[in-house]
Order: sequence, then structure tokens, then C-alpha cells
Amino acid sequence: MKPEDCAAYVDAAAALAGLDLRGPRREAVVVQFSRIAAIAEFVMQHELPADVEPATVMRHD
Amino acid sequence: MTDRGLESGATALDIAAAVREGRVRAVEVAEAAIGDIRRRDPQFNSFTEITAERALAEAAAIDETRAQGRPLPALAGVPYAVKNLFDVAGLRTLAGSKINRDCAPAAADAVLVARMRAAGAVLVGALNMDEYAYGFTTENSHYGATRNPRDPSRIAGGSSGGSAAAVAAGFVPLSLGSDTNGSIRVPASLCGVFGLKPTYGRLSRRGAYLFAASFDHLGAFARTSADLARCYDALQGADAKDPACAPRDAESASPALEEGIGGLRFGVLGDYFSRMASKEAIEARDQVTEALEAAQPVDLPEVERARASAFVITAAEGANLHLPDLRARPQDFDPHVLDRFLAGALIPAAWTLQAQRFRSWFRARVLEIFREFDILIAPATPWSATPIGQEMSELHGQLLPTRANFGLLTQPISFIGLPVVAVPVHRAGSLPIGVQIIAAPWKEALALRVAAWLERKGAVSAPVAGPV
Repeated sequence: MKPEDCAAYVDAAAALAGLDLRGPRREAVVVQFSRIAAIAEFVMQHELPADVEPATVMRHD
Repeated sequence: MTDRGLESGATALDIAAAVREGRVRAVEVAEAAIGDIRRRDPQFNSFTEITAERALAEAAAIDETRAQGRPLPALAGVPYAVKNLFDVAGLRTLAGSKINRDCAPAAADAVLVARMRAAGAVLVGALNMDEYAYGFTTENSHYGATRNPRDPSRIAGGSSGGSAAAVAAGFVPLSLGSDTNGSIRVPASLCGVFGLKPTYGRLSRRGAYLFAASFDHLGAFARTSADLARCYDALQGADAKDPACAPRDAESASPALEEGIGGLRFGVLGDYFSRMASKEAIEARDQVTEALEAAQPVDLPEVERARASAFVITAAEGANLHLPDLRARPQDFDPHVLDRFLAGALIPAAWTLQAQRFRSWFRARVLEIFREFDILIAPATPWSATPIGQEMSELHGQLLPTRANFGLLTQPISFIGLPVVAVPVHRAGSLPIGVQIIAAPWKEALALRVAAWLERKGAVSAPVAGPV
């Protein structure tokens, strides 16, 4: 996600989630979200076999 | 702790033996601990509440049991304290927040607090932490920073910073904390004490304020491996009301502590775990591996992606838990966590699902490695304790944000719920730093056995912090 896309996404998603990001808080959240987006992109690049299911609860039994 | 038959900094087992043998009364131990906390803790800020009335009542009940000639439980008369995210009947469960001050006091003890009580331990207070456990430094804007007893100008680590500091300072021989991405192992490393993060699902979390449910573990701190094992044994047991708690019987760790390390296969985690560790962290790891004569290097696959996945899932789960307050009263959050929670609330499902699928993949690969090894060894933190307020720290020539990166070496391990004992390495003229003794799922006893062996060899130790 490009930085400008991050800012647009944050505005749209915050509105959907009912979060008030007016004022300087918006910029701080965009910075944080951009960081998460970069990290998530690294995760998304990893190709996984189709039969790998999400580990919703990390039970070992 | 008390001058009635016990030296300062007595271990839990020393205290329990002294109480059992009638050399000291539990009430005397509790009074001494409370007095010590009141006198000295203002310089460390590890406690947010002292539960004197409850402690004296619990201690009096122990003394009464002994007076009646009835047998005493394993931790009878041992003072301990809990991170303030554990429910304690009659107290508000702050979880490091301002917001939770508005909650009603807990109606009952958390399961692990109840188990400590059943084991005879005496609760003397609640301990400081990062707000909602989202941090590695315990620089809490509402309750102040907890200062490291080894050097009060430095952080204690977090998020269970108060728990580690209280044990390092000698206020209590045992404390309870939680570990989501490293919140037991990081402060144990920085404060120079032993910390146990059991297998995910081993200990009941019921009655503890969660952070990111699929990562949240409860565990303990101590100054000896024997105390840690005895505490862990007291905490074990299934709990059908905690959906993550596995239906397993308790597997006592204490009886096997003296068995040694013969026949165990050790692997030393390299690559990422060396690149993300400072020289002092590597030296501490080497001190442990040399004592164990462990030289076999092991690389976990895709560790950086494991850490990245843990980061994404934690942000999403943590934010989801607090969404109503993020909408209604964002101004009441600690500024250190607010922006991360808000950003986490916006994470699209595709990212968390991919991260959770990667989690399954990574777990399978790591379990394959445990076919060849019994114990894996890695540094616990990239650095020893940094100065309070330090924003950036240097790692191999690169400046990294301090607060976000203290979990670099712990996150990939808790991501798949492996049990870990953080053992403290003390070197002359240096701050302590910890090393992770990592075992396969449900093998806590093995990790504790290795910790006990290292302690007997003198490679690791956790003395009470000296006067400051």
C-alpha cells in the first residue's frame, strides 16, 4: 500500500469503524498504519499451500 | 525480608520451610514484606497497590493452620504479588489503564490467584505494567515508570515490569505476570531474574485481563529456578471455563529439577537471533551455551515473517478488544498505546487471516525441528535495560525504536506458544541480560531442569539487587 493510499484507507476505515481521528491524532495513526501495512505486506508475500488453515487458537492437543 | 530467622532476600522455599518448622510466623513474614515495600518501593514504583489487610488475614490463617497441627501447603506463608491485570477480589483490575478505574472491583480472584492462595502463598500487592500490556518498557503515563532495581535510571522492561522489579528488589520471592509477545521474558531479562512463560494453554487465564487472546500466556517470576518450578506446580491444572486452557493434568516440574542435562540435545538459534542481538546479548547466550556445551546451530525458517505476523495479529486482536473505548474515550488511553490501538482497529481481515495461516505453517516447521532437539537457546532481548525515556537504540550500527523492538527475540517464540524459561546472566560490571531456554510444547519441566542445572553450575543467577 502506498503512503497516500494508507492515508485514504485510514480515513475511510476509521469512518466505517466509528473512530474519531480528527486533529493531530490522524497523522499519528496514518504513520502507525503505514508501518503495519509494510509489515503486513511482508507477511502477504509468503505463498502458502491452500490446505494451510488459520491458527485461530494455538492449541497443541 | 524479615529478621526473625530469615535472611533478607530469602527464597520462597526458605520461607515456606521456616514457617512450616515454626522458626517464623507467616504474619511476621507478611508484616516484614509490607514494611519493606512501603519503605523502599517509592524509588522503584513497582507496586500500584499494597494489599496489607488481605495479606495479614491470609498469613494469620496459615499460622492458625499450623497451630492446629494441620499440614501446610507448599508455599505456606510465602509473600507474592501480581501484575495488576489479575483479578483480586475487592480490587479494581487496572491492567495499567486509567479507563479501568471506572470498573467495579473484582468479585472474585483470578484462577491463578486462587491457586496461589490454595498453595498457602500470601498476596501482598498488585504491580505496575504497560497500559493493557501493550509495551515492553513499563513507562506508564498514568502510574509512572517502574524503575529497574539494578539501576533505577533504567527501565524494568515490560509489560510485566512491576512483577520483575518486585522480585529483583527482594520485596517478594515470587510474582505473577503475563506474556503476550515477551512481557515476562523481556522484564525478566532486564531485571536479572528468572521468568517462566509456559506453553500456550497450560495455565488458566480466567480472571486475568487479556490483551491479544491468541497469544496471552500467564506465568511467573522468581530468583531461583526451584522457586519458579514450585510456583508453576502450584498454578497448574485444567480449567474448562478458559477456552484456551488445555484439558491436561498437572505435570509437576519440581521433582525432576535435580536430574541434570544428560542426554538432552541442545540447539543454538542463529541467523536472525544473532543479527537481532547486541554484543552483550550474544555474550550472555554464549555463557549459557558454553556451560551446556551446546554448539549445534539451528535456524528457524522465516523467523522475521513470524515476528511480522505476530505484530499484525496482536495489533488487530488488541484493538478489537478495546474498540468501544477507542470510539468513546480515546483521550483516556496512554499516548504510548493509543495510536497503535487505533491503527490496529483498521487492519483488514485479509492480513490477519494470512498471518494466522502463516502461524500454522510456521508452527509445523518448528515442531519438525524439535524432533532433533530437546532445547533451543536464544538471547531474550536485543539489549540490557536502556535508560528510561530512551526513544532509539543502536543495533549493529542501525538505530531502532527502543519500545517497539525489545520483543524482537521473544515474539517469534510466543507466536506459536512454546514454553520458555528466561534465565538471568549477570556479568561483573554490566547490567544483567537474559537467555531463553525454549522447549517443545508441554515440556516446561525440561526447560526448568536446564535452568536449574545452569544455576547449579553458576552460569546463571538472580541475586537481590543491591542498595541504590
